Amino acid sequence: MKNKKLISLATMAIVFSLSTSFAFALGMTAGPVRILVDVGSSGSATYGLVNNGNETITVTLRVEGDAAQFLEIPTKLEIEPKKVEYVNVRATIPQNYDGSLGGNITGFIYAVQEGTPGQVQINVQAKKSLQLLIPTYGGKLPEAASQTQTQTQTPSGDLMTGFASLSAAGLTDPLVIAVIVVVIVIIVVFVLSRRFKIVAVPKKNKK
Amino acid sequence: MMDNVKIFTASTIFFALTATIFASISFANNDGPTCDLTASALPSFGSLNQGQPSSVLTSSVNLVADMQTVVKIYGNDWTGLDTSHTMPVGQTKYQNDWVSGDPTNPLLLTPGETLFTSSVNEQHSVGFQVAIPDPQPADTYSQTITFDFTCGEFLP
Repeated sequence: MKNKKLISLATMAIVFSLSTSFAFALGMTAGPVRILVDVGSSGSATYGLVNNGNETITVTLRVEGDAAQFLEIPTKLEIEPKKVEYVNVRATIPQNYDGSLGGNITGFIYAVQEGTPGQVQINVQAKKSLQLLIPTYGGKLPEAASQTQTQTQTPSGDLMTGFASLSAAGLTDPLVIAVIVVVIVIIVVFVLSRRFKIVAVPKKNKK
Repeated sequence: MMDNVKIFTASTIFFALTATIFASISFANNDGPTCDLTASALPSFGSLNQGQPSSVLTSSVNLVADMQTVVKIYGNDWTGLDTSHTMPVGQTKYQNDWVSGDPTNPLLLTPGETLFTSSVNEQHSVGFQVAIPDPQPADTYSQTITFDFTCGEFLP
């Protein structure tokens, strides 16, 4: 009986250590960001950065490429555990844009989660392609992509539902939840067995 | 007594199934396709002599992907506390899915090298080894290694 308890405790310890073994994580919604915007006007689009970890993370953002000079993005974002934070990308094409970069201006948005400083620091970087499409100079959305991250979306913010409340306690790993579910089932079984007074009775041989 | 046992068994199965289904639904992602990359921290290579290669250290890279994800890797030069002391980035070599032996791919300054591409969940062990040139000024050196990823960039 004592051994069984020890095995159970050891199993729980392994499960919890597995759930906290990764250090740096970053996710993002799929697909390129395309903004249709004409000369002398502004447009915006959003994409999501995802924190599937158990701690709040800080992500730094930067833009590179020809599109950078026309864009405004936040330089830093904090993302709570199990949440999606939407990056608002705003593009403005000035009235005096002469079309020198054409009607399809590209760039990249980099979101970096920096690891802990040390002898070797491991960073995770999400790279998002971006297109500014300027109709006056021939820029247009691909037909199949007209609904893909080109308009400002209504962010839901929540990545998880239901058991999300457990995230505050850091209990979000599916394995941990599975253990909790099993424990709940065992408690239910125990309560039911007491309620119905179920006991193991050896079968009597009928002669 | 047998009826009670049947009710009890049925109740247990019902609760177990309900809980499992509830847990599955609760963890469904409701923000469309996403890609998520996780990398574990690298322990220290420790103290090394000139001309000496380190032991191989590994970082676990875990991808959870709904769309095609391209994972690349790059780094920067090793820099000493005395910033005039540097070592080229390529002194660090890496190997995807490392099992044994010396990693063979020198780390680059820009993310030109694709580590792996996948549209499904995958876990990789990336091995790293650093070799100290000879001569090299004694110092405490550090380096940053970045795992770079794109997610579903090939949509029409």
